[in-house]
Amino acid sequence: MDAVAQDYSPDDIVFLAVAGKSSPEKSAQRAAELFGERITWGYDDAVWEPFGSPYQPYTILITGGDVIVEEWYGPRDADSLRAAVDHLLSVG
Amino acid sequence: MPLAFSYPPATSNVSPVRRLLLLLVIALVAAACGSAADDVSAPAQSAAEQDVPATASDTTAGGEVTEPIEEPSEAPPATTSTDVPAETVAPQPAFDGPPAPDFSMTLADGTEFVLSAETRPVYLVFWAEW
Repeated sequence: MDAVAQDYSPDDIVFLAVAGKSSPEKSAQRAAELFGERITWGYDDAVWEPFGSPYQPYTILITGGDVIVEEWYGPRDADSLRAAVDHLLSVG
Repeated sequence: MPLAFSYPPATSNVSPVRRLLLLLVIALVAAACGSAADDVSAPAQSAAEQDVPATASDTTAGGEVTEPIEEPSEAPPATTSTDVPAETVAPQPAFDGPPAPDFSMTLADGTEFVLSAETRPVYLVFWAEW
């Protein structure tokens, strides 16, 4: 995810990782290992609930108009992620 | 149609043949007028049989059925693609999908994120450190 995020301008898309089901301290330590500057993140268990408290990792692509374009569980390879992001950018 | 004729006096020197021709011409003219009168009534009857609304057609004094009169319409007149102002071009329809629940959260850098306030597309991933 981090490598893919660096391919896109911050003006075009937001990469947001929402941590939960653990502790802010442990999550911060892991985030430092996983994410570069291009990915913003935060710890908030409450945000999981509106999305059904999903298993993780759970990814959702949302348009600038707050419409869900695609969502999936589990990891995907970089090319698949780029294709998904390109599609998101094409629809809004 | 009343016709007034003044026949020449019997003492005139009009020959019987000319008199007969004159009567024949009069008869032909009378027959022609009768035929024209029938033609005048025919179109009106036809229009009535077609059950055309009175506002949609008109009959002239001569009995001719004119083209239907177009009712005024509230729709704007048709325009060509070349004279459509840019601001009237319909925008692309938004992506048809389920709405994302709105949420707000404090990010690790201390800033506040509100989904509904974000105008850029969002790649959102839920994750746990374990």
